[in-house]
Parts: sequence; structure tokens; C-alpha cells
Amino acid sequence: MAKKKEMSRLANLTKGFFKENPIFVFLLGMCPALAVTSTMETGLGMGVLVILVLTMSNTVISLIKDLIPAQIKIPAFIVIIATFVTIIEMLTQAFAPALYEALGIFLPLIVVNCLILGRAEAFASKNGPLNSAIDGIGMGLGFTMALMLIGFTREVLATGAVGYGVYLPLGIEGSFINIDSYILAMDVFIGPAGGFIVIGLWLAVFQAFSNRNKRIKADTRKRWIEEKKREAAERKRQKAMKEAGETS
Amino acid sequence: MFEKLKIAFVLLLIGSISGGAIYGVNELTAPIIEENELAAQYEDYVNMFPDMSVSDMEEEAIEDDDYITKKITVYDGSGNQLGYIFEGKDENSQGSITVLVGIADGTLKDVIIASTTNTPNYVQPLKEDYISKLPGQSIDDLNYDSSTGATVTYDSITAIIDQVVLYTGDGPVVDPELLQYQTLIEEAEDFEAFLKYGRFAVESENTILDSDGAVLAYGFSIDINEETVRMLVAPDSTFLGAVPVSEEASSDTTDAVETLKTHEGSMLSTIDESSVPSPFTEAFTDMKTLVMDYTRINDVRIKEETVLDDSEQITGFIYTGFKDGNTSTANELQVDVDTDGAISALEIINHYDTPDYVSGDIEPKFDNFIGETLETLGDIDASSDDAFTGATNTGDSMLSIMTAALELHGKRAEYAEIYPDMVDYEKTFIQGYDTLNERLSILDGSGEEIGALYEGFQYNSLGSVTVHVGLANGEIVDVTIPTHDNTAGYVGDLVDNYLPNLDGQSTSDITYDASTGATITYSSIETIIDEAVQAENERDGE
Repeated sequence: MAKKKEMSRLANLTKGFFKENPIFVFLLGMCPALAVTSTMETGLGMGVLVILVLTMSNTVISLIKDLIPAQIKIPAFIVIIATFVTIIEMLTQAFAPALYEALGIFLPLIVVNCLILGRAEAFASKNGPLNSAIDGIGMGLGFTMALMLIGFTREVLATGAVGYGVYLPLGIEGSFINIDSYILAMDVFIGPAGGFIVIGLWLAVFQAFSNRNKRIKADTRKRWIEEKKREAAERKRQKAMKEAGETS
Repeated sequence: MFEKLKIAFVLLLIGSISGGAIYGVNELTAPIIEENELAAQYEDYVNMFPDMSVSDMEEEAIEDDDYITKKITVYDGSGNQLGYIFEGKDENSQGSITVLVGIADGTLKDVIIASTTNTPNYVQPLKEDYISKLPGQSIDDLNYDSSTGATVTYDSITAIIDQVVLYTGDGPVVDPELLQYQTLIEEAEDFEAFLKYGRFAVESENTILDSDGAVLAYGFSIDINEETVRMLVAPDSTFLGAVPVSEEASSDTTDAVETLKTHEGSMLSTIDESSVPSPFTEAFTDMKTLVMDYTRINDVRIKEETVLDDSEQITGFIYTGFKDGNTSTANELQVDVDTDGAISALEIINHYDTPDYVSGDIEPKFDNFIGETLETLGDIDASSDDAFTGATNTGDSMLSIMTAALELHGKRAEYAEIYPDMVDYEKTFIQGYDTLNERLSILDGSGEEIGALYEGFQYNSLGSVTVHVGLANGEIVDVTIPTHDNTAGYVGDLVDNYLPNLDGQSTSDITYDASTGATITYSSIETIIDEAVQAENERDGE
């Protein structure tokens, strides 16, 4: 039986961006993707918190995976995740109160984010601490990228600008892009309906890229097979010619 | 067994470590979180009122209000009230918004967005370009800018401000006008609009109430040279003082107010109008006239005169009443009443409603009311076809004045039952007694006093009772009970069998009968009679 090829650390880190993006590919963690992406900054804030929780929980679960009996794996994972979420929540409330206010109920709800528990069960409980940490960072970055893309799109379409420093303790406050907001002013993109529309659009974009990649791969394979067939036919023809010469 | 113990131990271990970690972080962050919350909260407050003392402010949670959640009364370090901060919240299509609205001296002190989940790129321009225009505006005349482009957030903010203004007027919060009254009478908790007058310099009249809703005083707004002064008069006509509305009143106004202050505590009738500096002389006289000459019946000011013939015999009565009609300026109607208590003539002296309605729908219907008495008038509805079709608001004011006139006439009839020779009477308010409200000096045709009638009122365990005590020449003339809500059977027994025994008794030696069976009501009557006698003796002593 062939041994499964191990993924490189770089591939492990980057897989969450496109190939296994939690939101645009696996459709995991859709609740915050809708709820806290009315602005790019809140999306970024939620993403950073998820990276922290995911990385820490993955690492700890990976470290103690062999100590946890199979019967209590899920409750043990949830307790560990809930602990980190509670700690992150307290730290956010203390050091980034505006972000805490903006994320509201969705901050404690990270506990039940499918992405966190999914990576704990699918990856951290089967891999070493380093790879699990890298997986947490990579998937978290992919999740963050997706939230920021959705937030960016919604904010621009609704207001014509993208703000910064409002929720995160950046020390400065302002906005960039600044299209005349009266031209756009599509308030629908601030609300849940706009969230669904934007997520749908981005899913279509990712699906289109994915289909294109598959098509390219299929074409490449097809060309490779034809080349192999052509090479085989050539070899067969030369062999036949050789046998005919010997006979004559 | 070992497997189960292992599971339990692992769960215990994970739970303990988790609990310990959370405890540690909580210990670290709890003070910071608390500090953040307080700092954020008080930062906004202090930004609004830089002179405020945070430790002296009073916070009150507001429940059952669509917007307002909290009221903070702000004081400076010396305990002087600086104003109020209201916290209002709203949920809109973009999320939630919490706004702090500062009110001081009837103006918007400041408007601060304390927190919001609305779109930041809308909120920031709102703060800079629109909300900054609101501070300094009078809460009576707020101007909002409709072209913000951030209508969702701005609508929430203006809705909260409007609610604060409403709350300031109608809620338990003291509004600027009440604050002015409170400078004269601390117990004032609320006031109700009574009437607005057009003919007099008195702009409006309010009834000032205490926390139980009892009448403390009447507040008159007097408008002279576009400056308003509020004056307070107690129900017993004691002048309680005056205060200018504007803190930047002219020297004429402040001089007049200072002079008026010297009369505080005096009975209005004893204050010489000429001592009040110009331009308030006329206004003060008008107010005095209103208080001294006009009686309040329900929501009508009404004045009464007796009409005599050449032989000084009563031929009728004239009642002149003021009541707001279709406009907020009072109409004035003269109601002539004959000796049988029926309307004999009606004449509009002044009106401020639509002339065509008055001449077309009101005056032609007056003939229908000739001969009406208080009993029959009660069946008429101003809005019905048989009253004043087409001019119901004006008609309602006319009907109210007629009703008040006949009610006042009914009182006069009660007095006349005690003193059949009464031609007229003069009313003075009584102060310094627990039960007595007023004293009527009963006059004959030549203007001589033929007796006195005291009106007393007392709450008892069965309700309340009003008693009229007639005194003349050192004797009790009559004792009647015009209104009460005590047990009817007991009171009827008293009226039939016990009160007549008091008639004719000397006021120096009154014998009460303790065997009435209606001891509670009778006890109230005794108290009122004793106080009436005491008041009369003191008056005679003077």
C-alpha cells in the first residue's frame, strides 16, 4: 500500500487561501461571514480573533490528543475551544472595546464556529503540534481573507469608502477609496440581504477560478495522455518496422 | 473501571486548567474592562458638562420608554444643578445606536453618539457636519438638516432627541418652565396648562402641582416687550413671587422682578399695583384681576355680577366667561341668567375664531339656549346637530362657558338658601387653617355685610366632605353639606336630624350632639365649624 504523501509546510500554510478556503470552498463559519462583515475592519477583527483561537486550540489539542479518550474527544475539544474564546473575549473587551462592541454576540459564538471544531477534529487530532499550529494559522488567514473580501465589497458598495481605525485600536481613524457615497449608497449591502448577495458573488468567482484550474489540469492531462499514446504508437510502429526488416 | 476513572480524570483536568486560565485572565482584565467602561461613560458626560462633579451626579433608569433609557442629573462641585443628560437607544436597519443628549437651560447642550454599529463611513461625516450644528439650539425650536445622506442614522438620532424633548415636557423630568416655577416653590413637581388669554397681558396660566397632584399655586406667564416673566400665586391668593424667563433679561424686567420680590408672601389684594414698576404695572394688574375677580370653574375663568333694579331688587345675573375655542386664544361670552337660574340672554363679547363660523353657526343658535338650566344644559353636546353645527370647537367653548356660568350660579343659589336677603357677595381666600378654603362676605342691596359664609373641606376615613358654615351676629345661621362622598345614609340622617340643631346656636357655646351614629362625618363638620368660628372671631378681633 502506497504511503500518503505528506503536505509541505508551505502548502499547509497556504491551502486555506484558495484550495481549501473555509468560506468560499467548504462553506464553514458562514454565520460570522454574514453577521460581522458589514465593514472590512470588523471582518478583519473577527478574522484575527479566529486565527488566535484556531491556532491555540489546534496546538493544544494536538499536544494532548493522545491523552484524550475517544469517548470524550468532542466535549474535551469544545471545552478547550471555549476556554480560548473566553480568554480572547476578555482580552478584546479590555484592549479593543470598540471591536468587542462591534462583534457583539458573534465573538462568544466563535465557540461553535464549525471551522474551529472542524480543524480540531480533522487535522489537529491527527497531526503534530507544529503542523497543527501552521494549519490553524493558514486556515485562519484564509478565513480572515474571506471575511475581509466580503466586508470590503459590502462596505464599498454601500458607502463608497472603506474605513479604518474605528473598531480596531490602530491609533488613527479614517477611510480610503472614498468614492462619492451619494452615487453608491446601496444600503442593502449593509444588511443581511447584501451579505448573502456578496457571498454568492464571491462564491461564483471562486468557483469560476476553481473550474478554470480543473479545466486546465484536465487539458494538461489529456495532452499528456495523447502524447503517451503517440509515443506508444511510434514505438509500436518502429518495432514493426524493425521486425519487417529482419524478416526481409 | 479504570477507563471510566481515566475519562473522569481527563475531563476534570481539562476543566480545571480551563477554569484556572479563565480566572487568571479575568483577574488581569476585569479592572481594565471596568476602567474602560467608566472612562468611556464619564468621558462623554464630562465632555458635555466640563464643570460637572462625577461623584455628585444622579442616575435614574428610565423604563417603558421607546428611546430613553437613562436620565442623569448633573451637578457641579457646589451642588448646583447644571442640567441633564439623557441616554437614548434606537435599533435601525443598520444596527443599533446609543446617543447622549445634554439639556441645559432649555437648550441642547450637546449630542454625542456614545456607541453604534451603524456604518462608520456614514456616522463620521454625520458627527463632523451635522450633529455639530445641533448644540445651542432651543429645544422648543429644533432645526434638523434633512440632506445628510445618512438618513438611517440621522433619523435615529433626531428621533431620540425629539423623544428627549417630549420627555422633558411631559415626563417626570423637570422642564425649563417648571424649573423656573421651582425657583419660587420648591415642592412644584408638575404643571398643567389652564388657559391662554388674548385680552390680557397675561399670556397663559398654569396650575402648579405637587408630587401628589394637589394644587400648589397658579403660574401666570406675562409677556411684555417680548420678555416673559412668570409669577406664582397660591390658591389663597398669596403672591409667591416672580422670575424672568430669560437669564439675560433687560434691566427694566429685572428691576420689576426685584420689586415684585418685596411683595412675596403678601395677599394679592393688599399689593398696590402702582408699586410694580412699568412696564409690568398693567400686566400685574391683569393678573391680579384674574385671580381676584374671576373664579375658575372647570376649565373656564368666569366672573359674576348681580343685576339690580332701581329698588335694589335682584333682576338677574351676568356671568362672563373665558375659554379657549378653535384657537388658543380665549373666547369671551356673556351669559345672562334670570332669577330662576335659566339662561335669559347670550352675547359674544370677544372671539378669536373664524368670523364666518361665529356669525353663521354660533350666534344664530343662541336662541335655542334661552331658558336652559344647568340640569337641561347637561344633555346638550356641542358637536351634535342641536347645538352648533359646523363650528364645533367654537361651540364647545361657548357651551363650556354656559355650563360654568350655570354651575357658578348654582353655588350662588346655595348661598342664597342660607341668606335669602343676599344680593351679592365678596370672596376672600382663607389661609392658616387646615380645613377652610374661603370666606364669603354676604352683602345686602346696600352693600352692607349681613353675614359670612365659610367653605371648609376635609378628608376623612370615608372620603371627603365640603361644608358651608353661615355665621352672623355671633350665631350659626346655617350649616350645609354641598358635596361629599361619605356614606349617603349617614349624611342624610345628619342633614335631616342633627345639622338643624346647630342653627341659631351661639358661636361662643356650641353644643354638638355626639349620638349621631355618623360620627366620622359629624366630626369633620365639627372641625370645620370650629375653625370657621375661630376665623370669624379672629377677624372680629382685628
